Amino acid sequence: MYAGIVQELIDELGRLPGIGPKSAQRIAFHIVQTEGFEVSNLARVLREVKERVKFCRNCGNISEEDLCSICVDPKRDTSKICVVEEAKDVAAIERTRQYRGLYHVLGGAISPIDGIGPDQLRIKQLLERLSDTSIEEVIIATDPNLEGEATAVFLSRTLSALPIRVSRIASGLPVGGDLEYADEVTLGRAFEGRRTVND
Amino acid sequence: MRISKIDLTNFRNYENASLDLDPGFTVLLGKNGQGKTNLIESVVWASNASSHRVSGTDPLIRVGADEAVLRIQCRQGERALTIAAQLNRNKPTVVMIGSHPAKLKDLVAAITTVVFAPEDLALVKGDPADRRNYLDVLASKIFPNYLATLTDYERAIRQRNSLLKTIRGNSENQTLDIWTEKIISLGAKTIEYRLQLVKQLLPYLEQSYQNIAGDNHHAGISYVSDIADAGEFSRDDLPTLQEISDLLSRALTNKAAQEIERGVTLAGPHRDDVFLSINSLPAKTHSSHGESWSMAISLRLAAAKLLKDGPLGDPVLILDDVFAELDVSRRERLAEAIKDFEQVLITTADPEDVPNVLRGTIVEIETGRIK
Ligand SMILES: [Zn+2]
Repeated sequence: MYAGIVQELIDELGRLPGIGPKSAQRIAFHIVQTEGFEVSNLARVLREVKERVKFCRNCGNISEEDLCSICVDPKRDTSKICVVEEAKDVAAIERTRQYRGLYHVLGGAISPIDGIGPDQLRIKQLLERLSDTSIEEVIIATDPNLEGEATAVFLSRTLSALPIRVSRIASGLPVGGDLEYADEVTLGRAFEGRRTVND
Repeated sequence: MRISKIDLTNFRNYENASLDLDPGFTVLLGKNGQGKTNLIESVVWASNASSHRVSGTDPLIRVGADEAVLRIQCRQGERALTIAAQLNRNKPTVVMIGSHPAKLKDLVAAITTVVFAPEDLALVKGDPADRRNYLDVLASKIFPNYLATLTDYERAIRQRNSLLKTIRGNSENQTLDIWTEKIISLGAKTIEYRLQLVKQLLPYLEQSYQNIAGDNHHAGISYVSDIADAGEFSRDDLPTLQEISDLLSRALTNKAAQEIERGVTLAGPHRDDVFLSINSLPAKTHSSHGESWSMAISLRLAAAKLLKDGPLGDPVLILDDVFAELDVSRRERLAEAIKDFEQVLITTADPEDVPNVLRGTIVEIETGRIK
């Protein structure tokens, strides 16, 4: 344990995901000991990010405006919507540069243990977007694990009545994993090899 | 396979320990509570990604320490391999196999061990869960996809039970059948693996039981499940995956109302059992103390010999304080049956309990120190 404010800093850092007690201590001492460490800029960004960033009204992606940069981009292919669990999955798919359509972020996956059913996800909003007849394909890109698969089954079933092609990315992704950890090449291939699930 | 070196830091009562091991027999000698079992527990953990004594990793970390580190070096033929793991309080365990970061489940394919322990009597006299665990640990070594299937199945059960509890009395839920389908596909696959395993085990168990109890005795093993009639799962031709799926599906349909009322999944491999018999009588209810021990040892021995004949070769045998539980003739017969394995690690408080043929290198252990 360290005196007062230093320990408080270590505790706060340690609460962040992926930062254990040792890393928290190392970061804290870096901040405290490094001469000329510019703390005011970090503090400003931390504060502003919470104030400015919100969720896109249309797709649920993170955005500083009402609509995110993807939804307002006129060069995107508006006939396709890719459904993902989290905003970080949008970033992972964007890195592949394979996909030029729009997204829809569900905000999670069906998981009764966590109290999450279809009503807790942004599925109603997806159905509203699909009433726009210019959309031809929905690509389901939930995680290749148990909950992601269950969510994909629910979605493909819910969407089966609509005159839209529904496909699921799958091939090549490590089973049981998280989408965001798949490398770009694998994820890109998984997109190319998506299969239709509502024929 | 054999273990060539164990290095421990803050594991159980070892602040720092290092032990080189030779092939053949090693007796770890120490009074109770000195740490001889802790030493081999590190090998068991590296082999199964779990301890044979406790669940979770917290009890394995030395009191007052935040993390335990274990490094187990092993050799299989010419191939040398090092398993390293850091067990952390409140954080996931970090595993390295060779120089590569690995997942916990990858450990299961790296080192094979078979552990004989005083708790093994529960295989015969204990709950179905003890016998299922015996199958699960062994199946994980034999079928590369078993552990992933079982892990997903168990998670699907927790998800479905959670859902059943929240929808009490309302069968109209729009996602229940999605989880039911998951239970059927993962559960049927799990049962199929277990049936294959039991079929492979049977001749080894018959042989092992005769080795331990004498030629005129017969041991049997079969898989039992509420989803099928008695005998259905001990036919010579095993049911197909489709047949198992149909049986499980029908059982779940029959129990649907009861499941919604009680909030738990009432059919599937998580409720199955293994039926053990000695001379055609149920071992659980009809065997003496001595016969039960013969059966328990025979189950471990059968597992060891099945592995030995497979692609992984000799497992490392670990006999944890087990001779003290056995009479002299069973000790001698067990020693005779295992003396050809590449490496046998034995813990005991009394060297006199260990049959002469197994008294190889003796390592003394006192209060977390290796002498
Ligand atoms: Zn958007």
